[in-house]
Amino acid sequence: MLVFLLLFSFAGPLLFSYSSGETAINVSQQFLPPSPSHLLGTNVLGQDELAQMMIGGQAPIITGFVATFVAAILGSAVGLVSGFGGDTLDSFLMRLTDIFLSIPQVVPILLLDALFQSSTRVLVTVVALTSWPVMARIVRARTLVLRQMPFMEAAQASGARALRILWRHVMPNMLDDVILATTNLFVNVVLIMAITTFVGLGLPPPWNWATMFAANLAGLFGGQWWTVFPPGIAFAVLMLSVSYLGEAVRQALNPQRAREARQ
Amino acid sequence: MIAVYVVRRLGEAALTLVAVSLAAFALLHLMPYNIAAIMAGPKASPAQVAQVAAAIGQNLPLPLQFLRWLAQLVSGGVYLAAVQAMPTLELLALGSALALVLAVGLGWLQVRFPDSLLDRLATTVAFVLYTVPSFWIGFILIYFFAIDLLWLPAQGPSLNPASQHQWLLYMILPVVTLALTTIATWSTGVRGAIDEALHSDYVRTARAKGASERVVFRRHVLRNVLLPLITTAGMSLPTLFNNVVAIEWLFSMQGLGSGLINSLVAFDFGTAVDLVFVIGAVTVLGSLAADLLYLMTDPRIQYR
Repeated sequence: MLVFLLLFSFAGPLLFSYSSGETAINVSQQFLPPSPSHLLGTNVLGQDELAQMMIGGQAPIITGFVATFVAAILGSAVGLVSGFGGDTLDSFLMRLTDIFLSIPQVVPILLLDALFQSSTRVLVTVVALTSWPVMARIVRARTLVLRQMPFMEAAQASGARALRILWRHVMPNMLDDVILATTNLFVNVVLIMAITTFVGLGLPPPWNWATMFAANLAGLFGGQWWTVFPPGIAFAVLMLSVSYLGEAVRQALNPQRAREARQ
Repeated sequence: MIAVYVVRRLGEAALTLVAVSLAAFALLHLMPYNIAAIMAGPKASPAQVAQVAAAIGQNLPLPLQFLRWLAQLVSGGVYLAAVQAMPTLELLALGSALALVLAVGLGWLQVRFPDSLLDRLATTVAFVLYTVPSFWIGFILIYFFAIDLLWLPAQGPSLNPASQHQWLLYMILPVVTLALTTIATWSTGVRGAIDEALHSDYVRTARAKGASERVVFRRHVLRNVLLPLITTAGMSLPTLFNNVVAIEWLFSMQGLGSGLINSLVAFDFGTAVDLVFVIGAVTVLGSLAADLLYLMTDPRIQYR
């Protein structure tokens, strides 16, 4: 599913002859219903909906992956430091996490977006910088459990260096949790960017799935359902496939815990 | 004991609010926009711009400007922002109440008939709802109920509705949209909690004493499930608010979210910082209230 979506968004525009002619504004062809020549119909400006869907997937997917990746690393780092560091450091970092978690994410995103006039780089940075706390909490909780394990003591007693312990003993044991949390993070990140983009800030042009909603709002009121239904379905397919992928990787990594978690 | 705890939590909440508004204030005032020039308008002479700059205190050092903003907030800004917060609070309250009822009802049915078609369907639907943007759910609702069937208005209520009845009518779609997105995040937890409660010792005792399923549910399961759910609700307030922003925008409602967007787009940074403060107050105090409610209703909890 995910492969299909990636192909759809990145190879699709190349494969089809949906080049500039199809995405050009052509008001005389406004709101054509789905037909063989326009499989998903056309939108308010007479642009082909299918071509828009393909190109519109690129921005959310790329920014989503980048922001998730950065947030996951940041969150894991904070979680590890919090879990292994001293009490003072731990309580300071957790207080910071609480502050971040108690403020709706849209607020900092909208503020910075308005100031920097919707730049993709700024958006990805802000989303990443505000998304890490959930990850930090999960990694910290897992670290605290792992710290009590006998094998950790054995590793320390055998004189392994801190980095080796982290890499050989801590990482493999929490990778399944981290991956599941990362896919949840991805869903959250993409949704929050969709919201900010929908209200007019967020991802800048060219269009993406979220701007397609806003642009085609008029189409909805005119009963042209094909202008707004497909982007939503695309979002759902993207998130579902990433979530299932996360679940599958988690099971492959640690079948025992995955089974326990499901019961 | 509890007083110490409450005071400490209140102190933390106040600290968070100050930190957040300080951050928002610094952010908006360190930016290279000449707010005085924007306020004075494009045709203003340099002298007029200077006059506006002096009036809004732009030449003062930043800490003084912050104190000035604080004074302004206390003297009236917070009242204006609170007025703007009313529709948002109504939406939040009604939406989460509906989500609560639906999530518990659904979870109860799912646990009563495990692995049935209903159980699996509900799980799947909740998962799909979790993955689509909240405003898209609103789109679908608008399409079917406002455009296709013409049953409900496609907009949220205005600030001065003609009657209570009309207000309620306009409120239905936004509230249902918020509730549906919220159920998606709550329902798995609720189903698990109900399942756990039904297999607990106290339920077995109640059943052994001959209590009917209904009494078991109302007296024993519901109470034990609702309590932790209050905390969950309090903690998910920020997430709820993220969705409220999109919903207010979609349904053209007045409120904190749309107010923030409009003030930012109009470079009205003073109002924007006021609104950030009120938004922070709503979410921080909301989750604090949820925690305290939990504390007071559940004697088993130890406060630290």
